[in-house]
Amino acid sequence: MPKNNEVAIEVKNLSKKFIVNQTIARKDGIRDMFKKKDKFVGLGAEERIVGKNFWALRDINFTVNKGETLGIIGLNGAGKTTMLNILAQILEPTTGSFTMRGRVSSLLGVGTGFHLELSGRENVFFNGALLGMTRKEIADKFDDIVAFSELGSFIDTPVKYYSSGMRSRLGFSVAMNLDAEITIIDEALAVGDVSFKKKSTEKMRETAFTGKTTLFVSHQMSIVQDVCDRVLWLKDGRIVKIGETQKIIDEYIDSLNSADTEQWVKSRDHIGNKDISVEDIFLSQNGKKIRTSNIRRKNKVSVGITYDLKKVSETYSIGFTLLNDRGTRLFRAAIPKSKLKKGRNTYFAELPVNLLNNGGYVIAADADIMNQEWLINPTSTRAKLVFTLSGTREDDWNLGRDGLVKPQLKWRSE
Amino acid sequence: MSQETKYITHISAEKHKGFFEFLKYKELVYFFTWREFKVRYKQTFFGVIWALAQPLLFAGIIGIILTRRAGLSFGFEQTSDIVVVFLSFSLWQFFQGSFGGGVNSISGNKPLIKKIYFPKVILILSYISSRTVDFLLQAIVLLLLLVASGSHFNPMGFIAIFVGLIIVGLTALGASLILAPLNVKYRDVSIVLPFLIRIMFFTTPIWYPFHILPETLQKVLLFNPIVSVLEFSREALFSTAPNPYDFTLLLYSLVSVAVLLFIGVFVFKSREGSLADYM
Repeated sequence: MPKNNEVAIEVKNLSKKFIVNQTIARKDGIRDMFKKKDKFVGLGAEERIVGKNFWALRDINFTVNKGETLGIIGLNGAGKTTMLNILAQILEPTTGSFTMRGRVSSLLGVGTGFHLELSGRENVFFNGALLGMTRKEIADKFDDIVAFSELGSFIDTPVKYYSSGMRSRLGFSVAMNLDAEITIIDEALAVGDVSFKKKSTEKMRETAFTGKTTLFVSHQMSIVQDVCDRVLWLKDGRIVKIGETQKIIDEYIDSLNSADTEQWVKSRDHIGNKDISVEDIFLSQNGKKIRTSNIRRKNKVSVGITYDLKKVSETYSIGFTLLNDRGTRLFRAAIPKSKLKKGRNTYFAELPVNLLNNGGYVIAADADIMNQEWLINPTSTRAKLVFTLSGTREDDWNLGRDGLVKPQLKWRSE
Repeated sequence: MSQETKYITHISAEKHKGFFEFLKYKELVYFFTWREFKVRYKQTFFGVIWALAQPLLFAGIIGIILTRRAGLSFGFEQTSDIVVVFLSFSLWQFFQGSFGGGVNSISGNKPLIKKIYFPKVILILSYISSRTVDFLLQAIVLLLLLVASGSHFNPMGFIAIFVGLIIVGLTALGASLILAPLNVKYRDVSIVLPFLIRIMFFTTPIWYPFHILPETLQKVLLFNPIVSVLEFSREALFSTAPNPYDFTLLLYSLVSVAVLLFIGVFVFKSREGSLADYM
């Protein structure tokens, strides 16, 4: 592939500094005169505004070859959005430089710039121009855009009468129909109702697959895995690693677990209340704790939770909750009352991997009294673990399928 | 190959893009202008007639009430004061619309600027150009008024009017280039703006002849490019003197508008890059 090795995006020593204004109570102010009388704290407390430097990105270097899809992953606040915004020229870098070869289309601005008083048709032309299309290009693509947006005859209605779904559909359709050599996609921007969301995600994947250079930001590891050639992992504004998709994703997810657990283990006495506390939560395979949190469907996997119970009551329901990476609760599982024992015990439950779809999951400890009061609230507890589930290359379970679950059904024909 | 080399973007923190980058975005200037104009008169019953009604009403009222009083007439022998005020007010309205719109254009388009890259100066330009459309309509009505009332006018004076249009437009551009980026960071600007526009309205001889002002004040006010170019184009169009073109006035306005633009481009350039940071 000699020609494919042309560099499409080159980023050199890129850094971005934000100045965050903070109001800080002055320590040497009049307030200190009242130090001993804490109730006077507000009196005369002088405040000053301090500009604090915050480096959202630090020394970023990478190149993307022509036709390659680079996934960008990292926790919220890692600098993913800042990076996309700089590459889309919305923000200016503080230091460093970047070069892009080819027309850039960014899906960051989907649906922005629509004017409510103008009709859909007029907005298509305006929005197209905003994204860098010429009038002729827009006119040529107009039918495709309208067809993709499913707006039909509403295209001549002022946008203010559109539902928000219709608006974002139109915006997405314009952006997706721009012929660009480089596309910047934030996957969180898939919009509209379920069926359009699917359609737009498909279109994004298609774009990434059709040999266009793509930068792809997503929290859904399953999609990143499907779409990206390489992955860049950002943490606190710096590149942790950049490399082969599967390897980086595995390491990333492992780090999430260990970081989470580490923090949690240190303070685990605080999880739960005085009658019940969570000591550990992990995945296990063949009786051993497993380190990787990228689970292949062909293996049997169990969840292990160590609870320390000071008291066992009929009214307690103790177990775990399974959520997907979008935060949707798939189910709650409770340890049968007969199996609950006083003291420190580890309870195992096999995960129904043949029921679950491909994707990222969170398992959180969960305990309540009679479905009325949380003892451990699974949405806020730190006692949780993250893993991704994927198929194997050998079976037909490789790809994820639409829907919350993907049960393996027994079929027969008559 | 040419297709590929056409779109090379190189951005570095040290070297900023030039001010005139917007020239590559002609299409977008057109669309913004078109949107501005279209939206302004959308869902109004009288539509674009409003562009004409305002200066007509103003000219009628001022013409009847004020200028009929001795000493306040503009003193053009064969031209009704109503027509003179119509021209003055049209030019003023062009400035007020462009300037007022221009200063708020960047802070008012936050979602756009936070999501899509384009040269921000286009926003200011689109306000000015959409108001130009209004003014051109008013200029046609002005011609009709002149012909219908049988007033005297120098046909060449219409060139002076367009020179006036350009200078007033550039004044609005220069002032907006300074204030629009400041308006993003300091919201004081949008509070002061209406007050500033009102002061300018009263110190500009729109509804009174310039010569009634004290001479020292006149000298100061001539540095306002709008004042000098307004005087220049009014004389050029309506005066019955053999040589109605006072190029000293034009020079005054040209020099001050050049200074204003120079400062404007400088301020805007230095702040354009960080606009999105403050939004």
